[in-house]
Amino acid sequence: MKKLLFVTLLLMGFVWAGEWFSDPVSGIETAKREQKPVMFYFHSEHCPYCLQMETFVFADEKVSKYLDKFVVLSLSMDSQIGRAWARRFSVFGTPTFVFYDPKKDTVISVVFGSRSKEDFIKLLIMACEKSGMKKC
Amino acid sequence: MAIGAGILRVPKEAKKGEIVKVQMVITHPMEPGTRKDPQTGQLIPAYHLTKLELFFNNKLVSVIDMGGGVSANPFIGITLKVEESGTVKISYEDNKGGKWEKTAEISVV
Amino acid sequence: MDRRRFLLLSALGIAGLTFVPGIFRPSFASSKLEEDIQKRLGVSLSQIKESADVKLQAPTIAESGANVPVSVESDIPVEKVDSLWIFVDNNPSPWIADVKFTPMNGKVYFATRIKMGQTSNVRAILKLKDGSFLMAAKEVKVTVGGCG
Repeated sequence: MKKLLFVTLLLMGFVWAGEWFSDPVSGIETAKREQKPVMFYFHSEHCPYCLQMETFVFADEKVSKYLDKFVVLSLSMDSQIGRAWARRFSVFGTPTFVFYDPKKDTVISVVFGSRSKEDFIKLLIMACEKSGMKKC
Repeated sequence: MAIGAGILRVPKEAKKGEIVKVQMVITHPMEPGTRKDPQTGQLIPAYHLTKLELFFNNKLVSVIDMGGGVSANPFIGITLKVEESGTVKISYEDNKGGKWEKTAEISVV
Repeated sequence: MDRRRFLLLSALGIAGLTFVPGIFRPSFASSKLEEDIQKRLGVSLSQIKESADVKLQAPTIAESGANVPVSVESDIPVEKVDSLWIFVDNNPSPWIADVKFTPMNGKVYFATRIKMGQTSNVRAILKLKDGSFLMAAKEVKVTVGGCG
């Protein structure tokens, strides 16, 4: 019985492999350790396009499958730390997705604006391939 | 405004038999349960109005059933045929047990 | 627990998962819209006819899809109407709301604002008291964009 429970929990761990951070330091550390690329998600309150992504795109089953290959670093433009990182990447609006290689400390791509589920998946696939990282 | 606060707009007066518009805006986040909290990446649990009933002089006029597909701070417009003076009442509830009421008066002139 | 029993239980578990709707759906299954309509109206979408008697107003283009104004009205006497149902074809949950009318409404009219996940048809379906259904559908394009 214990063995079955352990295996079930282990399997569940794989299903919930998506990692979401709001602290850049621990997020980037984790990404390096797990050899995953990073996706920065710059958002702001009251922006309906961010709401659109959060409500209909991020939680989608198919999108989750591809999003799970990234460590997501979610930063609010309404916070100091968010604005600091936004400046670094020249991010001017939301939602903005910055795909980043944590090992090489390089930006893979910066994408501004919401996307449909299908287009977002294409974006994730492209960024993953460009990163050349193991988990992609 | 507090969650559940409602604005109910009806004309103050109407002719007997006139069909008037009843409009309302209710303060409520209407979370569908599929939204990822940008801070935590966790799904925000569903939290939305489920039902709204329209009464006139305590007689049930309409029942609206809704879910998280209705926009936040829902706007609803519906009509009422005014045969006599009286009280328009909306009574609404959400999936977490919140229950509210709002009334307004119409006079037949 | 011995190995054989464990393997059997795992196999049953996985087999059980394939029959949970929404996780593994065979490709011949009906769309979410069709399922929702069947579930809530008790008829299949193919049995519902479009009718000019149901007037559905929605914008041709909606920004972001967070707040799409929709209104439905009809000249069919409200005494003949049981209820109005609103669906968005491509939303993860197509059913949005339904309204039960009584003669005290005076006429068939309903307006609200809805969320749309992507470009999709919005459908307004009237259920009449005689058990028949009438429908209007309109495609609303949901734009992508951002905030500056």
